[in-house]
Amino acid sequence: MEIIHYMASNMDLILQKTWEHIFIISIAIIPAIFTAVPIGIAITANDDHAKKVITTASVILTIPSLAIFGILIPVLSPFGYGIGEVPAIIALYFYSQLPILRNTYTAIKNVDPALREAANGMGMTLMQRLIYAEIPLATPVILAGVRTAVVVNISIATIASYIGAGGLGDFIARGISQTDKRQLVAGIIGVSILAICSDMFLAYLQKILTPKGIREEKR
Amino acid sequence: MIKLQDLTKVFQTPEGTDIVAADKINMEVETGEICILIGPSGCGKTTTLKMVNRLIQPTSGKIYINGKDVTQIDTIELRRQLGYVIQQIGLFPNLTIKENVGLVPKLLKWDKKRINDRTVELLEMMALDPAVFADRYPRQLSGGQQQRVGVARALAADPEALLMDEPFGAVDPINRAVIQDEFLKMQRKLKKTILFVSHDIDEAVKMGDKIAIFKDGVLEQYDTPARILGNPANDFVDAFVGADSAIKRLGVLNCEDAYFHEPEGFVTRNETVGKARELMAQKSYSRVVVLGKNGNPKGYITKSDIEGKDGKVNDHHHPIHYIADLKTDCRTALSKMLDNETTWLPVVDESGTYQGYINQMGITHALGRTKRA
Repeated sequence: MEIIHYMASNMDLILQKTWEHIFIISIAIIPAIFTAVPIGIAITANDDHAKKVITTASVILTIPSLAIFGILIPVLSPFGYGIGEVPAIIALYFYSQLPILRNTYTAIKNVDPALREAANGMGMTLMQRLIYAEIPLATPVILAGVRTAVVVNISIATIASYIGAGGLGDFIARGISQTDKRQLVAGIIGVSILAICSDMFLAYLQKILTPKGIREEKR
Repeated sequence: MIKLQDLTKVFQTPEGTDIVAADKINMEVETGEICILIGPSGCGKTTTLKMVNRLIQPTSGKIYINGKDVTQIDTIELRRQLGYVIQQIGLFPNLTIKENVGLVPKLLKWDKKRINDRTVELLEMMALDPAVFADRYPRQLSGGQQQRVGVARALAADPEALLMDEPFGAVDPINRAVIQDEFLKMQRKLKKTILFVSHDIDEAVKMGDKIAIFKDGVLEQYDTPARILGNPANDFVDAFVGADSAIKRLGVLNCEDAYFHEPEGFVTRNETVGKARELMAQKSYSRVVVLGKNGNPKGYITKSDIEGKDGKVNDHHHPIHYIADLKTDCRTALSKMLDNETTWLPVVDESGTYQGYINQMGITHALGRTKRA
């Protein structure tokens, strides 16, 4: 009851923090898509490179987020961005690479070899083959990677509150330091709702961007 | 015309040893002919085909298409001039049938209307109603329908030649026969120069104007189906075409080549028995064919049937179960004889006019003649 009352009376602040959260993640995820997808496609040409790139991206994902924020402070301080949104966005950008890149790689690799041969045989260039067939066919799987990245980022962005990036993490951080259950739970609820809504939105996007010819038929 | 000159492909295994997949292949495919490349797995037939559109880069040798050396021209440009059909079809599942067929014209930057007209024309040619199929997606079609679309796609930009890699191999046997027949019918109109890889000698005999038999990268024999079957160049070809090569040869022999010309050996149904008897005596026929109302062979009568009888021939004749025409292949004719427990069939021309008859002796002689030829 107490919590509901708190949330209702602080709705403005919650919405503002939610917006900050969304802002950080969006700014990180959009450039991440534009680098991870081309890299994912490029490495399909060479299995050795693919292995190296995917391993590197996996290693990045295993570094604890607080550690990355810590590393970025001295690196970005000379430019005046040691703390705040910038290091948070950079960290989230790196965390987004692996799920998107790996899904892109897998999806392109799984395109029917017959289709590739037919495309080559009819005189399509690599670019035409990607545009007409491989990317559209890989889109659902690439978007599944984006979904994973977004959901992971929503939770990681919470921690970025400790370096002053704002977002819903502020409620949680303050809730812990002030042992204020109301703020803590408000933050948790906010993050959960945001995660669920984003996932649903991206699932919808995935559905409408899946080429009609490969959609599951309703029976 | 496609001409291969000393075409050679040497592959290197990871261990560094060389494998000669195609060894100095020399052959010429005349314009408008279907040439079947055939042989056991790993014989070089597919390698040879793929060197023509350079999906495999030749190690040495030349390829001429209509007199033009294409070994050096840009691969993309070359491939757009050659239709390519593969066994796995490889339609783009994300594109509609119409878009799949119109793909190469689109790459060639044709305008929309021209692409659309061409697509409709091709779907109709492939016996796929454009109103029904144009906006469907590949997965909504059966395997046979998909392969028709595959052929339509290959023909879309009116290529100089078609390359087909076991195109009907994945289609079930019943549909395969249908699609082969349709393809031959279409080819009679289009007269494309076609290189066609197959592993099925029956398909080769049926479809090919010429057959090229490969073994271990070497072209063992290149000739018409009749000559490959009748005069195998060596033991390998002999074994490859099979012990029943004479039976297969029946399929490439028409009644025209084997029938006995006897255009007067008939009576019409309303003529008298006396007339028939007279004809038999005069020409020393042991039987005469009885023609029905429309001049088509309806039955036959033998000497003993009408001995001491009178009236019209129509009252005494035996029925005829199958009528061959000049273009009927001898395999079908023989099969119909066996089926109907008879030793001969009447033969008519395209207009249905009685020409003579075919029997097993005639077929045997024709086989013998073409073997010696």
